[in-house]
Amino acid sequence: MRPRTSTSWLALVWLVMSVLLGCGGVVVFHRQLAGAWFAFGVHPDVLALLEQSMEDQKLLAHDRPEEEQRFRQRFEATRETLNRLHILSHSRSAIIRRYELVLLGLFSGTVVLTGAGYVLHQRRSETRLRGLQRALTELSLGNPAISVGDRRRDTIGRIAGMIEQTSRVMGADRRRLAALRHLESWQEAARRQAHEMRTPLTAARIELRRLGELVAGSGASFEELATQLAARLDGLRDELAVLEGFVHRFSSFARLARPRPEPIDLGVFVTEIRDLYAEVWPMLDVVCRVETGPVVAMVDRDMLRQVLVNLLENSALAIGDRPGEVLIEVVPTPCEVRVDVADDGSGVDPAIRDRLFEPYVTTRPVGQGTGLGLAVSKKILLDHGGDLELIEDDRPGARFRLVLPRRDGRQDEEGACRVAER
Amino acid sequence: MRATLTLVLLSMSVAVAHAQPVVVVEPEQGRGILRLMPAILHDPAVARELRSGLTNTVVVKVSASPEHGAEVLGGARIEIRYEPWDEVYLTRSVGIDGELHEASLDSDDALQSWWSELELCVLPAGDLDGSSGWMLDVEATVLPFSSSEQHEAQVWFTRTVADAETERPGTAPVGGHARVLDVLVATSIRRPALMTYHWKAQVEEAEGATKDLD
Repeated sequence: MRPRTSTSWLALVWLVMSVLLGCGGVVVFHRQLAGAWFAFGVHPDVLALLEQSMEDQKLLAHDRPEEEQRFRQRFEATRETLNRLHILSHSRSAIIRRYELVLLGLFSGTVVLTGAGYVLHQRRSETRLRGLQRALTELSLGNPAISVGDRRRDTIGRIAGMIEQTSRVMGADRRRLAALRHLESWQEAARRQAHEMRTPLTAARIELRRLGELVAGSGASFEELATQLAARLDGLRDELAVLEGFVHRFSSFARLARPRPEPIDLGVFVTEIRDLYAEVWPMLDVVCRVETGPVVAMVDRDMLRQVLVNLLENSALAIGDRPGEVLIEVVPTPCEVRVDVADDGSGVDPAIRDRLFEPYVTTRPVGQGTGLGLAVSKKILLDHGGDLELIEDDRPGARFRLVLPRRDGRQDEEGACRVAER
Repeated sequence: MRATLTLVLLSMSVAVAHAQPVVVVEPEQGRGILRLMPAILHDPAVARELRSGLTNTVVVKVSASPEHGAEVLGGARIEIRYEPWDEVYLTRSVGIDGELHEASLDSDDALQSWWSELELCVLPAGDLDGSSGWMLDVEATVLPFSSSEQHEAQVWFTRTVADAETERPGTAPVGGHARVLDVLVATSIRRPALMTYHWKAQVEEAEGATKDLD
């Protein structure tokens, strides 16, 4: 942001003021000088004429003694004027020097005032610009109620007003979008829940209808009837089990237990996970990259396993039937342990990146996922004092980062880490 | 000490490069008496002002800085005004003793003669005790008009400028800025020195005799 326009205008105003002041000074001095010098007429010819006039008065008085008094008076008056002009002639250079000094002082004062005003304006502009910068920073952070407090009508003031207006508009839009997104989430959840429940219920209804037909009389023998009846009941139990599993997942999400952390060497842990689930996803080549030596963190073993399995399952689904690779990298830092899980699949749909960790958000078709996996994983990490993040970079595939606080006996460093994080 | 003193003024430095000054100071009755050289009146810068009608003033300052004791200061003033109606020079001289001498001189020769014989008491008697060997600073400044004439011209100037402003048709009355300028200009009217002469003089004690040196 460069307030060049405002600064230029002010500089122009100051320049005009300087010129006007200077011109005013020149006009005043010119009037004084012209009036003075023309009034005094200190030209040598004037002096010579006055001297000649005095001589003439004397001659007249000599020729006409009876009027000597009158000529003497005229002579004295002329002499007075001549004396004054002589004095002015002697002082002329001093008067000019004084004029020049006053003129110089006036111009110097004007220039100094102009410079001081310009510097003052620059400082004020800088202060106001810093205010704009802070406001823009807040705007970028999404503050919906920014108040710059600059009500002037110049460029900076207008920009401040625009920022405030923009923040209000953005705030209103954000609230509207949040409300819409909330409604959409619930609509999506309702749709999925309805689907998940409708499928087993439909199947159960069919089984019950067949059961009714069977009881009504099919002409079959008692053994055949008993066999068919057992088959129908098994089918009915299976569908009810599906429904129960669905309900169980939701209740698990609703009543997610608190973690019971214990010190775990994450290097060893991720290697065990890889070995344990190697047969579950045969197309996946899971590679563990772990630093030499133990990397200990305080985590709930079962919960962390649930998170990693969820991520590996997502990777397996994203890679599909082709062979793929998942890299699990354990990176310890002084304050935390990062576990990066990266695959070479199709990556995360940009349309849902912002809402990826919200419940019921999934790209899978209805009936193939509840959209709770990443939400549950995020909640687990947050309950550990860490976080689950989607790393966005130019590399193909999806990259998730599990952040776990490092609590391996370095209690003294914990406080410093928190300060550093702040 | 009432001794005959001869102050020998040695020409050390002169403000203008004209004729070599010859200044003799003769003591009379224990006073330091200064006689200025006639060449001053012949100086063109001075000579052309003698008939201006203004009061030409010669201010003489004498100072001595003895090795022991306080600084000794003295001086005198000479006024010469040409009266054009009567065509005479009116002169006045006053020394440090306060004694006023006036004269009316009807020609340039008379003026020269009066100047040559003019004796100025520049130092009081008491200050000359033990003054043998002192170095005196003598300064003579020639001014083209007197302080009263200067004041009168300042008043007339201010009044004339103010009258010129108010009488100008179509102009507003003179504001404060113009008054300030009038004061600035009026105070610029000061007596500039036509010439300033400087000499170094050494006080010499001579019993009962006067010695002319150059």
